[in-house]
Amino acid sequence: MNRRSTLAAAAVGLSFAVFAASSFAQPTMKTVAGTYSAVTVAAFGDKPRGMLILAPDGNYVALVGRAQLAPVASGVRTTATDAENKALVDGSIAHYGRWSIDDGGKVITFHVEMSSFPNWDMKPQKRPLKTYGDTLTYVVPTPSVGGTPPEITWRRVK
Amino acid sequence: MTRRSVLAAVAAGLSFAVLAVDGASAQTMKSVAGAYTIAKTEAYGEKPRGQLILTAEGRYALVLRRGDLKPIAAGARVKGTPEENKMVVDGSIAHYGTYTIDDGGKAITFNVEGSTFPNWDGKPQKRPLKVSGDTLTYAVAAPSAGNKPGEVSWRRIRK
Repeated sequence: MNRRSTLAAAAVGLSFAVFAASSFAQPTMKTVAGTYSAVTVAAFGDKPRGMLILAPDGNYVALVGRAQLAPVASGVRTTATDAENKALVDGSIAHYGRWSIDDGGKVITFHVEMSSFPNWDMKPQKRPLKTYGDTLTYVVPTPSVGGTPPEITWRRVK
Repeated sequence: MTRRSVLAAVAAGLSFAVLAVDGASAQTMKSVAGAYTIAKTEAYGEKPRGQLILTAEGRYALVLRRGDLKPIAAGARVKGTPEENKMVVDGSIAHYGTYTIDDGGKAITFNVEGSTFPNWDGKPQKRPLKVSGDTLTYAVAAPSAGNKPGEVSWRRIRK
């Protein structure tokens, strides 16, 4: 073996090691747990806002919404107008419960307990998951607005 | 000193020690961090439901809701009727942001970043805090429903 082929073999070996490390580092609850900020949520416009806390003990709370929601003019939540109520319900969603990583790291399941969209109450939602660095992305097969399953992307908060 | 006065002095000393230990365990972000389920609130009906997560790093998110909200008949969030939308807005609140424990453990401040009640966005809410065992209670001076100030109690979720 000459020097060049030795180097080439070493490079191939290294690449494989890196590839193996990344492809076998499947997400687990331990690696995924943390606090995330919303990056992409098609249903809520170009600059969605939101937070997802995936607690290491398996509890979670999620809230996402439009960047701009107008305050309720009366200052009181229960005396909003029909138009204000519609803007709030159309423009935000919150849910909580327990979460798990399933199918060897390929899926995140939200075991929804309660949601601001009551249709989701007490129903588990299995969502195909991808993680890349500080980014967590999942597909929502049954979005609360109906229609095409969107991808939701979150970035870990430092 | 009679025997009785010695006993009384010892008893007084013990009481003070107990009081001191209790008083010294002031709340910190580390001591309150965790996940909680709603224990008591007057604003969301007879069967309130909800969850609060306080992280050790100072982030929080919470959802509070009536337990008896009905599904939106159309099956899509953006197709609720005016009555259904009102039911959701009247019957739930969620907010998130950062939090701090202040005044030597006597207050919790929610620095609200986003909320389903946008009037709260970007505003800190300082709430008098009491912690007893697994129960965390704070007083809300200006409830979002405009009702009189009330207490909200949360119970730590133990696995």
